[in-house]
Amino acid sequence: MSGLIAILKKNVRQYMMVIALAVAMVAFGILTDGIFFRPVNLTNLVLQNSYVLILAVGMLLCTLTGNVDLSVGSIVCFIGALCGVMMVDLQWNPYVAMLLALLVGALIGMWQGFWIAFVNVPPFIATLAGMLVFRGLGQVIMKGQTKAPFPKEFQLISSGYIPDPFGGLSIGALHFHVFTLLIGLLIVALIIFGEIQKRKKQKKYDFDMLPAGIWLAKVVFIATVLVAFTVVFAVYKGFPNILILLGILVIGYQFVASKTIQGRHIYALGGNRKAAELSGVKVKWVMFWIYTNMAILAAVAAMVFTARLNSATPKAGQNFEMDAIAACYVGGSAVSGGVGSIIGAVVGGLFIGVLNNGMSIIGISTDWQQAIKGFVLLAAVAFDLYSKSRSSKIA
Amino acid sequence: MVGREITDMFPKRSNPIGDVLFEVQEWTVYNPDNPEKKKLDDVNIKVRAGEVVGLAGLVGAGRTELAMSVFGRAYGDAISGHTLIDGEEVDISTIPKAISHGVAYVPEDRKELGLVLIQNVKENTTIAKLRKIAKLSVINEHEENVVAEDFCKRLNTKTPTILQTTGNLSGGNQQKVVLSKWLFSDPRVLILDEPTRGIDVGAKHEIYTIINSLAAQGMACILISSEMPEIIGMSDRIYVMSEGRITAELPGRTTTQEEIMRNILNN
Repeated sequence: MSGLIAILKKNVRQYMMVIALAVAMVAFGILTDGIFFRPVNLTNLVLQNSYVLILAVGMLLCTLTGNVDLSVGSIVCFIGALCGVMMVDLQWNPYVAMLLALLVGALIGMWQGFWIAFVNVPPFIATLAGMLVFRGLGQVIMKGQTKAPFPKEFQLISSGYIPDPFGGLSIGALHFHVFTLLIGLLIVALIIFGEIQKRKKQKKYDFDMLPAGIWLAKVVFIATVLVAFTVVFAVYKGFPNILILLGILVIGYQFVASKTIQGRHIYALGGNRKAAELSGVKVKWVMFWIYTNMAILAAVAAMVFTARLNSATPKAGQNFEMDAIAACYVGGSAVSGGVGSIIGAVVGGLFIGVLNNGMSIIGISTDWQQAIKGFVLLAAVAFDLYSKSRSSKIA
Repeated sequence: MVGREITDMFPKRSNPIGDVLFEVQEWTVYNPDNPEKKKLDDVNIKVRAGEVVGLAGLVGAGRTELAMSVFGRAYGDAISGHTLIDGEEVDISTIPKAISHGVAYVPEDRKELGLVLIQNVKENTTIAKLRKIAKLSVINEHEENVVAEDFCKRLNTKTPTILQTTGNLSGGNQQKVVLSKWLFSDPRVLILDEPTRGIDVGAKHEIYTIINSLAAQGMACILISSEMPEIIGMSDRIYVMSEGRITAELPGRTTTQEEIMRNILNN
């Protein structure tokens, strides 16, 4: 029992966040008479929030260092405008254009990274400047007009679904997308395997473990939920392409952040920059690459967003940075840095997305939605600080 | 802990002392807050393998500044001079370079500069040379656990597990984690800045024993301390510093506090 309490205390934030997400989904499922859980709505949920989640992944690394990147919304606008010029005006090959978009994103990131890491401009200021510069430049490029339509290949990023090479499976009135089912089941299998390995290691080193019954319940719960969602997508159109992209990004970044030297350096920097520096962490370069990476992900988000709207507009990207930042802090990032996780930021982003989606179905206006989003952010961070001060008093 | 004779305070050491391992020559450093003023003026010191060299002086004499400026230029402006290892000049002008050449610095302020307090014992132990336990940048969790457990055993670090947040450890055990970190980096030159400040008597003795065993293994140790008995009791030789200059070189153990003070004040 003491093992359970110790683990709960340590991971309160993460467990609470996932539970909050589950509660919100169930609540909206009830409030909307089940409309929330319809395949078409869940698919929309993913598509509408995809760009926020992509930005949140990059923003998480910034918040780990105790900072934010205010320029990402404007980078989305600028890169969107660039894509418009390349693919709509100049009719360039869409794949070449997408590659160039990523490259320009990288250059923007290196530009901001340079000022932050080597000239010591505070990240808040450097990215605030970027916010103004790149929205301005984006609007200069677009001259107040919208650029559309984009080539089919480009649109597929956001509107396409993965193909089913297995031809589909019909059981009664239901038609299943087989490839989706296979991918979903594979992921569930991998997660179960991972949990078993983790538990074996905890036993080996005598670390705190959840009591066996509760651990089993947790694994069964996760597996059931994932299978359920897989089936929901499988009876509709299958997994959207964007979900696969998101999955790869989230898994990839979570791995790098938690299991590699570079990830460890970022957490050390965030926890105590001076001590990390004195321990050999190249803090300037770490900051440089964090901001370069953020801009590259902003370019990815720009393409996802532009493809979804099938147009580049001067107003694109407004307040995106706020959504991404909120996702990180609602998901458990500490304001002072050094604490947070990719999965946390994604859960935070999903929570906000679920709130938006559910409220829309019920018919709550978007203005109210914005206000509620703000309160959620405040509550999440206040709770964080409160529980931290309580646990330090106990210790 | 209590009940030990005062004369036993500093464990004895009698290992053979080898050749000069680490040398600092003509080391001049300007104050970054006041670029006209010299913080260190033409400092020359030698440390042999197996030797513990003390740096004595008043607060403000420049001892920490000497250590930090030598260690990857972590302090100071307009630094000039030479650093030699095994008689050959080496470039240790950045902290990563210093670490790769086997120089290690245990800071005065272990909480602010020595540890990432929100991280655990394991993470703090391996941070200075993660590539030793990683393949293609991916950290080997098992090896990391083994390393951390191993150091806790070697240094007798009292912690419930290696996953314990270092901020929750006592001062003495925190210092042992800092020492673990630097020992994991395979140093040949170990600079210790006030290593027993704010630590209880029992842990102090353990740290003295650790320092002695490191010297016995051939490490070149530089001990900065404001406690006269400590620096006299632990050092083979003592450099006295005053206002950024070396004012004397005295033998350890036999010298007296008066002798040291005389050389500080006689600048």
